[in-house]
Order: sequence, then C-alpha cells, then structure tokens
Amino acid sequence: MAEGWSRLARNPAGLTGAVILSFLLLVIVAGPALAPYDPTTFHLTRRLEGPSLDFLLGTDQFGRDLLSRILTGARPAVLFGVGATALAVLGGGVAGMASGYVGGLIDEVAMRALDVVLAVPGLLFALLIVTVLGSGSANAMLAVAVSFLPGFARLARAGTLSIRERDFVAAAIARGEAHGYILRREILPNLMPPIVVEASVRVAHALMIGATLSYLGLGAQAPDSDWGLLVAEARDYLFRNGWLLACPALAIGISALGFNLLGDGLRDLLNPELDA
Amino acid sequence: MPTWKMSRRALMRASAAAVLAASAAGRGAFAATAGTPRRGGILKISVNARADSLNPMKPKSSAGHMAVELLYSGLTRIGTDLSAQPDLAESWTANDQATEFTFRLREASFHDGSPVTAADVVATITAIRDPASASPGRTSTGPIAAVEAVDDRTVRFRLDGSFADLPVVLGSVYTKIIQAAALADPAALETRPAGSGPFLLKEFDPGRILSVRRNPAYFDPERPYLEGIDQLVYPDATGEAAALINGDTDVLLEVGIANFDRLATTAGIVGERVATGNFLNLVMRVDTRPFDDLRVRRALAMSLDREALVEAVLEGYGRPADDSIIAPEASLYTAPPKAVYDPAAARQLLAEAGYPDGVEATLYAAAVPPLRTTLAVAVKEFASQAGFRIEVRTVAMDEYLANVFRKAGFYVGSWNMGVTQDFWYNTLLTSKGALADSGWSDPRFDEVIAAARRTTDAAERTRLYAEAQALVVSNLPYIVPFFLDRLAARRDYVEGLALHPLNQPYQLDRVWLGEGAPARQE
Repeated sequence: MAEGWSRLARNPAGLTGAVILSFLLLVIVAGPALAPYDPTTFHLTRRLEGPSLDFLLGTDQFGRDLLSRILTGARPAVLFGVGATALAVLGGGVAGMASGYVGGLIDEVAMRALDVVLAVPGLLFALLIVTVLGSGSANAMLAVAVSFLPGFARLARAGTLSIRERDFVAAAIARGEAHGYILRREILPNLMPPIVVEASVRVAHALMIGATLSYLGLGAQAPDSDWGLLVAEARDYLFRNGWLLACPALAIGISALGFNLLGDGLRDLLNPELDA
Repeated sequence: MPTWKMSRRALMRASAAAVLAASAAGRGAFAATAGTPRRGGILKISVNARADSLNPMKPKSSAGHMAVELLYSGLTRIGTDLSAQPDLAESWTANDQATEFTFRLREASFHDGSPVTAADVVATITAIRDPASASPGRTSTGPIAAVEAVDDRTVRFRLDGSFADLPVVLGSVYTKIIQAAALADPAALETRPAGSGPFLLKEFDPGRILSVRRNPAYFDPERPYLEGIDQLVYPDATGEAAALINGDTDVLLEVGIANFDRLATTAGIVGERVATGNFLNLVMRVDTRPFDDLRVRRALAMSLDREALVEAVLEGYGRPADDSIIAPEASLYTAPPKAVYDPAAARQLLAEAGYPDGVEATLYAAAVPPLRTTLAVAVKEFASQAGFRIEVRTVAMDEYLANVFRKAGFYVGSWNMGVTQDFWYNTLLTSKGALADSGWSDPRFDEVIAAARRTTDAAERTRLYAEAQALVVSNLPYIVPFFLDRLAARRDYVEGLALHPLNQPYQLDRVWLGEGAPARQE
C-alpha cells in the first residue's frame, strides 16, 4: 500500500488529480460551513455585481452570493457523479460477471442487448430516460447510471471470461466451491483494478452529464445551487457579469479534470505491466 | 429583506405615465412629438420566427400576425387606448341592448382593384364562424348569430346575446376582411393575400424574408409613409441583436429584459418600452389545501413585496399589480385597492388559519417563459418570511399543460393582455370560463360580467367592472404580482414606432424613416 502511494506521488498526473480531489473533498465536507452567506438569500441592492470584498466572486440576478452557491453546489455535483457511477458499477458489474460466468445463450442474448444500448450515445440515452421519468436530480442520476451500465457490464464480462479460464478458478471448481464463492472470492478481486480505473474516469463524465442535464433544465431545479443550473441561469447575464458563467463552469471543469487525472494515475498504479 | 434606492422606479413610473398620456391623446399627440412624417424608404425589421401563414383566420407566430396586419384591413382597429377605431368601417351604431350592430363601410379596394363591399364582410365573418375554419376568431368575436349585407356598404350583425365589445374585438388580427372570392380556396390564402391593407406583397420566402411594398391605392391618402418593409428572420436572439447593432436591421420588436440595457445604451440605438397588461399570476386553487382557506391566500399575498418583485424578477421593467388581472391600460378601468405588504401580519394570519408553524406548498412553474421560474424562486424567498415553505418545481411545457394547469393547487400562470376586460374575466374567472383554473366561482361575479356585456353605457360598464374586480381581489383566486413592460429597440432614425399594450397590432403603417436613415430605395 505504502509503495502504491509513493508510486502515485511519482506520477505527476495522478498526484495533481489527488490534490484536486483532496481539495474537492474538503469543499464537499465543509463547503456549506465555509460559505460566507446563505446561498438562497437575496441581496437586492447588490444584484449582478462583480467580485468585491463583500462578495468574493460577485452576485447573481437576485443578489445571491456566487461563492456560497458554488461551495454548496459542490456536494450535490460530486455526489451525483460518484452516485451515478457507483450505481452503474454495481448494476453493470453484477450483470457482466453473471453473464460472463454463466456463458452460453444467456451471455449471447445479454451482450447483444447491451450492444444495442451501447450504440446510443450516452447523453442522448440519459436525455431519453429523464424525459420518460421526469426531471429532477434523482431521476437524472438514475438516467446516467443506466446509460453507463452497459460499459461496465462489458468490462466485467470481458474480465470474467478471461479469469474463469485461469488455473485457480479451475482449482476452486475442482475443490467443489459454490458458484457464489468463486465469483466473490476468486473472480471479483481480480476484476477490481480495471473497474476502479474505469470508474474514476467515468465519475468525471457523470459529473459533466449531470451538469449538462441541469443546464438543460432536466436535472436539478431552481433554486438549487447545482453547477449546471448556475451556468444555465448565467447565460442571460453573460454580457453583464461574466463571472456568473465562468466560475461554475470552471468548477465543473476542474472537478472533472481531477477525476480524469486520478483515473490516469490509478491506471498506471494498478497496471503492473506498465512498470517494466 | 433589504431596501434600495427609489430613483429607478420613480423614473419608471414617470415613463409609464408618459406612455399613458400619449396613448390617451392618441395618434395626433404622437406625431406632434416626433416631427413631421416623411415618405419613402424601406424599413428592415427582424423577427425571431418565420411568418408561418398569411391566412388571417389561422393561428400564427407573431411574424405572421405582423404580415397579416400589413396586408389586410379589418372593420375596426384597436387603438393604443384599446378602444375601437375606424378602419374599413368609417362608423357604426348599436342598439340599446348591444345585440345589433350596424357598420358603415368606407370606399376602399382590395389589392386587385375590386371594391370592398358588405358581401366581402359577410363572407369573411361567415367563414370565421364556420367550425371548419378552426379560427381563434370564432370564439373571441362574441355571440354572433347572423351577419347580413343591408346594402353594398352597410353590414348588420345580429347577436345571440348582448356584447358591447363587438366593435373592439372585430379589430383583432383574426377578423381581417378577406375578399369573398378568395375564401373558396383557403390553401391559397396561406401564401397569396387577398386583402385591402396598406401594403402589397412583393416577396414571401418563408424562413428568410417577407417583403411588402406600399399600396398606392390604400384608402388613407397619407399612410403608409414607408415605401416598403422587409421582415427578416433571425432565429437566434444574439444574432438578431447583433443585426440591429450592425445596422442590418432597423427595428427589433422583442428584446429580453437581460439584454435591454445593453442595446439601449448602444450608440445609434434607442430603447423603446411600453407598459402592457401582460401578467404572471400565482394560481391558488381554492378547492385544494392549504389554499382553500382565504386567510392562507391573503397571507401569501401580504408576504410579497411587489416593488421588490418587479425589481428582482423584471429588473424594474414592469409595474406592481394589486392582484387584479386588469391593467390600467384596459378601457373602463378602475384601480383596485393597493396590495398590502406586511410579512408579520401574514404570519399572524397563517397562525389564525391553523398553521402557527408555517405551511408547506409546492409551486409549479412551466419552463417557458423562464420568467415563471424566476418569479417562483423569488416568491419562495419572500414568502418564507411569513412561514411558507415553498418547493419550486419547474416542469416542461407539455407536462405543465397535461398535469399542472387547472389541476395542481399552486402554480405560475402567464397571460398576455386581453383586448377587453370581458375577455379574461369570461375566460379565466367566470363559472363557465373556458380556461377557468382557480376553482373559484361566484354567481354574483358571473351576473356582473354578463350585465357589463349587456350595456353600452360606458359609465355603467365601468361601475360593473369595478364591482367584478372587487369580488376577485377580495376572494383572491390569484395573486397578480406585476404587469410586464414590452421592450423593443430601434435605430435612432426610425420614427413613429408606437408600441401597443397588446402584443398586436404593430401599427407599422405609422412608421417613417427620419434623418440619417440609410438609402435603401430600389
């Protein structure tokens, strides 16, 4: 483990990602407490102002403090990304492992069905699901999870297919172990590295799709301080207070970058072949 | 809630008053303030959607309405004071019960040179009233039973019931007079006009341009002043604004609140603003908890600082309203009592209604126009002072129409100004109103509205509408926080642009190009 951390420290991309995410973690835990104002309080005399000592990032059309809104928006934004990805890993992982382990016709049918879903672009698929379920953060998260699920299922299945041919699995079968035991104790541990790497990159995607859905009015609802919603509300005021658009957009970008860089770092870390 | 300086609002009131004064004095006053009209020149005007149909009877985009107004004349026009003014009809009379109207036509001709006769009027009104036409004019023109030509230039309308507003509603864009012979082929009317309006159609390329030129045979020898108008389509608001700034267009008729200051302060561009009766309303269904209790409705009304809402939601481009859907621009208007802002009293009232710890409510807002959500968010914040815990839900328009409108207990409505007081009262608030959505009904209210239809005496009708308004405001089926302003922008050489409190008419036949206009003669 200690060796792992030092290897991550020697990987500049991974290190940068880890630093960004540590900062993000701080904001998620302490953001609402750090916010100088209530994110929904109007300051009607101070509308659409640029940064000042009172309002470090300026104010929006109702005179709400932008910094406070971004800080309180971090938790739902990141939890959205992590939550959607976790759901997809769980669903896709179980489905992929089961399908790969069972094999045969079931595997064939399941994978062709997933191919069909994979053929639809992720954002489009998420839009479709939200349109059917109705807008809202929970539905948007579910939509992103469902659109990510086939990718993870594919990954888990591919891993399972190769691992189940290994000798230690054959040994376990020879020992007469139950299928559940083999899946949990023999296959799953060996599947985890690629899934963890994929998941960390996917979180960045989920975060951005979540912001996109909110921007389109299908995710979080006003007056939430969701980052995508902040960008959407700032559109009208682009020429009057550019900070309104730039700050939440940067927050989305930097967070996504953090997860992406960490994903790269983790891939290097968890992939022994690259160590040569 | 903090307070702020009054200067901007004071300025706003002054300008609204100036608009009112100008509209009361009518066209003469306008011309006098803006110099002597000059003839000639092509006006380039931008629209954000194509003119989808040139058939006056069909529902249309605002660009289509504008086109019809340029190409056709009606029996009457609706003046900026919302009274009926002569157009093809030079005069009219009504009987005492307002059940029979006689219109006298002036000498005028269609674009092909044939005269406008009573037979054309009869044919047009008959076509509009045919259910097959599916014209919005069919229901908005009142209870017409029969229309007949008395002689070539006299038309008589017989009504099923009293309807004093007939001459006003006949000025609508849906009741323009169409040449009788052209009515046989409605499909051709989509692209080939058969009217007697101030302009002739030169070119119609839907989605790109609609071009009209001055009708030399128009019955008014003075108007139109312009040689022609080119209506250009700019689907993107940023591009449309840029076209005005670059001088590619001369007039931008629909400017968003957020862009108005930027455009109005650009050199060579003048911002135009007129007070309208367009409004947003908070619908509180009187048959649904918690708003079934009048005290809860009043508490919510008292928790809202109207002046602050105008500032926060409309950036000052509107006027506080006092829960009546009738704006001061309406004819026969009486001001309702001023809405009281008192959050402490509101909290008290809520406690009396059985909610000492406040009350929860979900406020629905359709996504279009975005102003609905902005209002909902502002209401949530203001009403929290009185103990309302409001959750705002923005829904797509189709979901709003399917599940929220007339069904949910609490939502944001958005309506344009009605031509007459009768129109919205009869549509939204009478027991049998086609769009009645508050669950409130009062036999006395129905009676008063019917009585106002029956009489042609203006003083009596004003009294009746005041009583109707008092009933609405005291029972509070709606909170009407404000009336919106209409914002437009023009190049400084465009003169005589008279924005109307109604969305239509546009009155472009009164526009002329003054000093500094680019030479665009053909």
